[in-house]
This record gives sequence, structure tokens and C-alpha cells, in this order.
Amino acid sequence: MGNIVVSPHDKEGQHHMMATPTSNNPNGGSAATAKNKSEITVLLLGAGESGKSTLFKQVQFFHGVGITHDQERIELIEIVRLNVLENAKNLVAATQHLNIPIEQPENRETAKLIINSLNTNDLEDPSWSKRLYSLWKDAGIQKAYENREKFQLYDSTEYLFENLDRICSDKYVPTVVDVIRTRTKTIGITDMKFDVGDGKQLRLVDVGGQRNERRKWIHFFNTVDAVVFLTSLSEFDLNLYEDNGYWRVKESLRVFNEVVNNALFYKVPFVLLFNKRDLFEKKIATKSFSKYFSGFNEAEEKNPVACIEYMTKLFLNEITEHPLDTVSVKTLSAIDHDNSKQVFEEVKQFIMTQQHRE
Amino acid sequence: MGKSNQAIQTGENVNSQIQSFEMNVTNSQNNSSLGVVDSNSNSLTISSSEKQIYGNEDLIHRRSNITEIINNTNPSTTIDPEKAIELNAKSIDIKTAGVSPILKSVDNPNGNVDFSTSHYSNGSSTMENMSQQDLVDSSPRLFKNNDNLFDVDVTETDDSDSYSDIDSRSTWAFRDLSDLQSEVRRFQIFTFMSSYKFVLILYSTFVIFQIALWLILGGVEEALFSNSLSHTGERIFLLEGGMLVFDRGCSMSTKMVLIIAGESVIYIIFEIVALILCIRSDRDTWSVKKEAILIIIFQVIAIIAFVVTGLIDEIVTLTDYFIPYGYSLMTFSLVEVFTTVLLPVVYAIVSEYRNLRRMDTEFDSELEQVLRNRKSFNKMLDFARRSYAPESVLCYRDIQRFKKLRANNRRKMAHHIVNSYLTSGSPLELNIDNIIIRKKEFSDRVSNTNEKLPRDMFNQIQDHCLVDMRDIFDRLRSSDKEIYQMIQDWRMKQSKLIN
Repeated sequence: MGNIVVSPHDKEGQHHMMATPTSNNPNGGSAATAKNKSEITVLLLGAGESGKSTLFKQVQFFHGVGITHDQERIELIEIVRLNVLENAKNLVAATQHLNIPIEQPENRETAKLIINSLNTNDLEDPSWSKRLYSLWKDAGIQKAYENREKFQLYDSTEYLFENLDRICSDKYVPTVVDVIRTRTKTIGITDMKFDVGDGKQLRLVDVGGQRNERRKWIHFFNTVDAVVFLTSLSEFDLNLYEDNGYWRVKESLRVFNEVVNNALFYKVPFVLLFNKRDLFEKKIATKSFSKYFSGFNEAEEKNPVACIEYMTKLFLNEITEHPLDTVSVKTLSAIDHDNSKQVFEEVKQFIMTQQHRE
Repeated sequence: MGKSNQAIQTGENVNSQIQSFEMNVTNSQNNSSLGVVDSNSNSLTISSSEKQIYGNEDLIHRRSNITEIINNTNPSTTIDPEKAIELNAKSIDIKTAGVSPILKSVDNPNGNVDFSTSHYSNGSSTMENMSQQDLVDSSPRLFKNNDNLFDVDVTETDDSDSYSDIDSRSTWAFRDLSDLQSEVRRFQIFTFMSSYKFVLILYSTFVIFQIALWLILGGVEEALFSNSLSHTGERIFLLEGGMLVFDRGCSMSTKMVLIIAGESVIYIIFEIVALILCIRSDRDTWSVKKEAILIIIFQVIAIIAFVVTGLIDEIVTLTDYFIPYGYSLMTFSLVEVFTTVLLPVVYAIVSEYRNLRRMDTEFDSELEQVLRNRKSFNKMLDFARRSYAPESVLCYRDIQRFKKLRANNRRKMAHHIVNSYLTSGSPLELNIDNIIIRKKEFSDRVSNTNEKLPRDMFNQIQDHCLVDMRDIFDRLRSSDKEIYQMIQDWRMKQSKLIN
């Protein structure tokens, strides 16, 4: 989502952070910078909901921008509450769609209000915390939640509902974790810059992942120094947001193929990140992995290592053009702060060493 | 004054069209200049149904046999599974040599990925299975897409040899650049004609013309009068007095009356032309039409009153001393100023007040308030454009315009909205789920001329745009001081209203 939260008053940022639109004419200005390599442009690419913006937010956070300050997180209250409402709406709509009745009459009342009139300001009232939580715990809603692969729902649903008592209060200030876990679909392209030593700057570019957003990527393709491609491990049972009849894994593979084999990226270090490892491990405990990949050995399907290994193969098989020694594969859990920090450090090191070799 | 606003709006509309048109042009330029990227970028953007049509060409660019199978979900072509496996095996053979270096570079933070090359052999069979499974999954949808594609984009499907057609398909009726340029010039002229500059130039020209007339005619008369040897006291235009006589009034001779009458006729002709243009215009957004008609009625009454009273001796000789009958024309001038200057100001104040009331009572979101204000809207649009995401802002604006139109004018706008924002592959396609199905629903309604298009037809799309703008809005708010201040002010106002 990339809420860049460089407040208008905040002048004393330690790092030079730019969080403005990526305006400044990516094609013209960067031709020169690409030569002297004082600026390293890293693209975060991947299909929709693969976690690009979550990683982007994490990187912002551990560089001390934006969301570290209470003042700036206050501005995001509405987004968190909007997420709660959207999740609730989606769940209620799903109960109708899947023909699962909401069981308690008072919860049905709540559901009606959610669909028709509830807005984010109402959530300041703590009574909504109880009502929404009771709705969430309703057997009908829970059943719909168990079948969430059949409709579109954010990954953060459970987290948000479990934290309603904090969120539905007039004193609520979103925590860093809240901000990291809220989902906002990224539209367009944003970037940030920070120093990486040696007088070099790293410019991290975050993009939207849905089909219509991908055509905008090309604006940055000729200025790229490294590509980080994210894909969600936990999407194996899901269909696309843009097109409910299209399997997400297939889309990810297709996009990966198109990006990794792009002639402009032949000489560019390429990192493939398998994201949402945490969710994935939870998911395969209850869902069959081999149901979706019939070539996969069924006996191994509860073993996350084997599954990830299999996914890795699927993706690496797509590489036909890119030199394989400049490709690195890692797993990630972008909502986990320490893990993100560690993985991003490694990615940075990988990119820097590749840069050096050139 | 009101009219100028209306014209400015249309001008702006065209500007945005031009901008999007430029977007198209740059898109296609990008494609052609980047060579190989061409195929990639296009296949990134085209929808699965289009892929079918361009499938053959697409395949040439794809060397991977695996993707060949995945992409080849066209139900009409059958896949020979044996061949597929064979091809896969080949590609994997080539690769196994290259893969081992990566195995070393795969440094997993959790240290879990550990695999051997032997796995590659069953990799191929899975791919094959996967693609067959997908084939079953997606075939009904592909058929559906096909129908849709044909009934909407018949023209585009013909030139299958040019990819750029997909990206550059214009949603407007402009066929080529020269068409667009002449259109642009026309609207530039209109914009100028409705600007204050033009109004000022026009008024000052007339003032100068009238003063010149006075100077020339008066000068001629004065020269002739003072040079005439006879000193008969006869003037050409006036009965007595002159342009240099300031201590008393003057009375006109018939010649002067004729000159004034001639001038009036010319002005009246102008007036009639302007009136016809005004009546013929489609819309009356700023009630210019009503005002013009009202004024004409008053004008006619005033002239009749002037002429009639001028013919009655009693009035001319008797009451004129107390109330000059020429006041009927003066009264008309007052009425004109009142209706064309004072009333519009009152309208504006009233509507602003109403908006304010509505804003306070409805508790619109801050985002909607930013979008409602013209200045902050433009900032938002500019920011969105620089973030490569103007579509939701533009779509929101067009839906607002759609809602303001009268029922019989809505269809054209609805067409524009559907074609620009809800068409897969259009340069301003919204980031929305299941766009192909949505487009079908909307375009069916729009093309069904029996159905009246309700004002709230696009409300769902509008809400979607608002949600999509959230991200950009947050970034704008934190990077633009003025917007930040604006929002703080609104918050203050609102909290005052609550307490």
C-alpha cells in the first residue's frame, strides 16, 4: 500500500527520504544516474496481493520513516477501520453468496447495518467492538471464513477482528503492526530513497500488481538495477481478484515468466521472494496442497519444506533467458518485522555484490 | 459570466482527453522503441481473451515450452500430452546444467530449501497435469470473454497484426492526430472566447469605438460650426450646444437620431444572433438562457414604453418635466444589471451555502471534500497522474458529471465512462475486479435505449474509485502542506459543529 507518511512538518529526517510520486520523469533523468550508479533502482514486482507494499512499508519502518511516529499513524486510523468494515462486508456478502445463514438474530441485525449504513466514524463507539466481535464469532461467519478461498478476503481479517477492542475506541492509535497488516491496494507507482553507504542511494519502487497496473511497470523497466519479484506461497488455493475464474498461481507464473525473461533484465540481478510463509504453513496444515499440484507427492504435502521446494522448481522452470547465476531465491514472511529486516538485508547484499561484479 | 464557466468546463474535458490521448501515444511509442519488451509488455496488459486472438504471435516470443502449454488454454486447440512432456523434458535438459549454480545461491534465511536435480523429472509431468486442469477450469470463461470481445470491439479484432492497437485504442471518436488537433484548436478558440480577456477586449473595443465616434462627429461639427462664415447658428447633428458645451443640456437633430437608430439596428442584429446561439445551446447549466430571455422581454417592453410615451404629447410636454420618459430605458438597464450581474452572485452564494450545509450534515469523507473543491481536486489529479494512477480520479469526476446531467443527456456520458474506465485494455482501465463481466452489464444497460439511465447507476463504481484513491490520497496528504492544512481546517469545522 505504501502510505508514505512523510509529514509536512517533518523536516529533520535522518535519511533522505523521498516519498513523493515517482514523477520526475523516470525515462529522462535516470539515464544519467544509471551510468554512474550512485543510485540503485530496485523494483518490487509481482502479481496482486503478493506483499510488495507490505515489504515496502517494512523497509520504510526500519529506516525510521513515517509510521514510526505516533502522529503519522493517527492519520491511518481511517484506513485500519476501513479495512475492518471491508472485511466485515466481504464476510457478510460471502454468507449470502455461499448460502450460509448467519445464526444469531442480533448478528443478522449487525450484518444489515454493516452492509447498509456503517461508516468508519461509527467505529469510534466501543459498543461496535462487541457487536462486530460477536458477528465474527457467529457460526455462519466462521463457516464462511473457513471457505474463504471461494471469495476475496484480506489476509489480515482474523488479526483485525481479534483486535477490535483496541480499534473501536476513540483513543485508538494504530500500532506499527496494525499499519503493516492493513491492506490497501496499491494503485500506480511510488518510490522511496535511502542511503546504503559508499555514497550510494537505493531507490525502492513499489507498484500495483493487478493486471491493469502491470502496464504501468514499463515506465521503470529501462532504469532498473535490480528486480525483486514477490509471489505469495499461500495463494495456491485462491483465484484472482481481477478475474474470479483465474488461478492465482498460474497468473504469478505467467507474470514471473514475462518479467524474468524480459530482455531488459538479462543483466540485472533478480531476486525471487516466496512471501507469506507464515500463512502458508498454517494453510497446508488444514488444506491439501497436492490437490492443486497433481504432480506433487501427496505424502509430502504437510511438509512445508517440500512444498516450498516444489514451488521453487515451478518458478525456476519459467526462467529461459535470464542467466541463472544472477538469480536468488528466498522465502519471506513480510508481516514479520525481524524476518523482513533480515531478508531485505540479504537482498540488499546480493544486489550490491552483483553490482560490484559488473 | 456564467456561460464562460460552462465553456471552460468543456475545454477542460477536452484537455483531459488530450492528455489521455498522449498517454496512448507514449504507450505505443514505448512499445515500439523497446523491441523485445514489446511482446512482454503487451502480453502483460492484454486480457486472456485477446491472448487467444494474438496467441500465435505470442507464442513466437515465448521460448519456454511450459508456458506455451499454460498459455495455450484455447479450447479449440488440442494439446498432445506426449508432445508436451517431450518438449518439457527438452527444456529441462537444457536447464539442468544451468540450475546448479542457483542451488548454491539459494540462501534461504530459514535454511529450508534443499532440493536435488532429480526432482526436475517429475516437474515436467506436473506442469502438464496442471495445464490440463487449468484447461478445464478456464474454458467456459474464455468462451464468455470471446462473446464480449466481439460484440464490443469489432473494429479492433480485425487488425491482428499490430499489438499497439490494443494499447492505443482510443476511447474517443478521434480517428487520427490531425482530427484531434483541429478539435483542440476549436476548443482553444472557445476557451479564449469565454475568458475574461476576451470580454475585456470586446468591451474596451466598443467603448473606444463609441468615444471615437463622439470625437470625430463632434469634432467635425465643431470645426464646421466655428468656421462657418455665416454664423447662422445651424449645427449638423445638434439643435444647439455642442461637444464643448458643458453648462446645459442639448437636443438632437433628426440626423443625430438617425445615426443613433442606425447604430442601434447594428447592435440589435448582434443581439439577435447572440440570442439565437444562446437558445440553440444544449444545456442551460448556469441559467444564462433564462436570463437572456427575461432580459429580452424587458427590453421589448422598455422600448415600446419609450416609443409610446414619446408619441403622447401630454407626457412629452407635461409629465416629462417631473419624470422623464427616457427613464423607461434607464429602468431596463437597471433590470439588466440586476439579472445578469447581481442574481448570478446570489445564486453562487446560495449554492455554496447549500453545499456547506450538505457537507456538514452528510459527513462526507475528507477525500470527498478534497475532490469537491476545484483547486484541491486539480492537485489530487496532478499527484495521481505523477503516480501513474489518474484513472480513479478521472472516473470519479466523470461519474459526478454524469450525475449532474439530465436523464436524456446521460447516455453519451455513460458510454464514455464504460469505454474509458471499464474496458479491459483501455489506457484508463480501473483496477476493479471482474472487469469484463462488469463492462458487459453496464454496456448492455447503456446500449438498451429503452431503459432510462438512473442517476445512481455508477454509484458502486464511484465508491470503488474512492476506495482506490485512498492510497494516493494518504500520500498526497502527507506530501502537500496546503492539502494537509485544508483537511485540518475541515476537521476543526466539523468538531465545532458536533459540539
